[in-house]
Amino acid sequence: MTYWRIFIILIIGIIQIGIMPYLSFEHVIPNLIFIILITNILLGQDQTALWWLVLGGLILELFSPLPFGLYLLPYLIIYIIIRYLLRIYLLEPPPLLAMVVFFAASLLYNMVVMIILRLASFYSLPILAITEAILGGLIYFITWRRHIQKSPIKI
Amino acid sequence: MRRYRALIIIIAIIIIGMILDPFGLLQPVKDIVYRVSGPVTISLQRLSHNSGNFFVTLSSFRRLARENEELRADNLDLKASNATLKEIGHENTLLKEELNFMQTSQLQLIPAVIIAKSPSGFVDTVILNRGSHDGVKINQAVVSHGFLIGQVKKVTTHTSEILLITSNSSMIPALMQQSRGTGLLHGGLSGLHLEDIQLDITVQPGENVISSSLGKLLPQGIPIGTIKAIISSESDMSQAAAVTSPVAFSSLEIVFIVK
Repeated sequence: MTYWRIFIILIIGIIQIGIMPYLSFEHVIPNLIFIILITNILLGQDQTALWWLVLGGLILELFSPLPFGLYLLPYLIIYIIIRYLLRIYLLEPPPLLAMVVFFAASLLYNMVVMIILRLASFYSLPILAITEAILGGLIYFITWRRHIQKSPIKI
Repeated sequence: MRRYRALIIIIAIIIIGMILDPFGLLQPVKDIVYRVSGPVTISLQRLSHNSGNFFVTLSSFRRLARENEELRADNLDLKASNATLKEIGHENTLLKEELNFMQTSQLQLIPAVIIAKSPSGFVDTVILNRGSHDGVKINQAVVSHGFLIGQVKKVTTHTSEILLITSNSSMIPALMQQSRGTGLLHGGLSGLHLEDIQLDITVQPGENVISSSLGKLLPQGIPIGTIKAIISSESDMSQAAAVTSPVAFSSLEIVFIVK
């Protein structure tokens, strides 16, 4: 199971590096690793989320020209924040609420990186956040439905 | 406890990485990763690039044909302008020659005097005595001796702020004149760098670098400088080169804004 997990993360990592930059628009490149990481956190898949955090984050770190830590550290902070919010407020949120989480997380992460490195204009931030929210919402919706079907509530 | 252990491991990885990275100690690891993944990612890049072009071509063939005609006409004009700019760039050195450059250039130019320079060493900007009242607009190119020196970033009625190409935050699409390779020109403390040059382009020191109309921010063909040396390694995902400009940026006094 673990090998499969690693293999899938590597595949997605390669897609993120090799294909996603060519599917960009308005200098916006959606981050698949980030989206899948949040999807797993929202679904309460702690173990899988941690794998995505470490391995996915490391792939991005190694291919990124940015200083080390600008992926892993914010991802870890986002992981902790979302896990904390989920414990207090809700577990397995509906897709629309999940999209809000994707939007907020994307905005938060990219704003921090942008402020640190002055990489992009503020104009691209909401576009990126909306793109990742839509894409994330879609991925979350698919996995959420599967998850609900797999684990029906027992009374 | 298991989760905390995982978190501690992640934090340890981050701390170790953050300590090693500034000293370049992660470079060997990156080299290995690049070499292993290089063939796959390059193939994927080409595949996605080609398939992207294929679908774009299919969906907009007629529009592309018309655009191609327009671009050809524009290209001819720009080539002519470029030739004039190059010739003048070599000929003119002083203020008198600057004026001569203005008279002979086919580009519409607005002469301007630098009235202030940025007090910060991090961002190279100059303030010119021309503004929207004189027809200055954001993103217009600024030249000196026929060579690109910057881009208009802010405009008031009578002044404009120019971000010099030597600035750390400057990023301009550029083209190598002989090989036709494109890249992004960055400024910085270590000089001008042309980055993101595709791997299949042969970069030759001494090759002319000119502005590119990619992004439609600048007119194509304004000379920028020449390639000094290749600074990327074989394992990098794209090529990078150091660029030298003949313009003495520290002693700029009179410049021209390209309308």
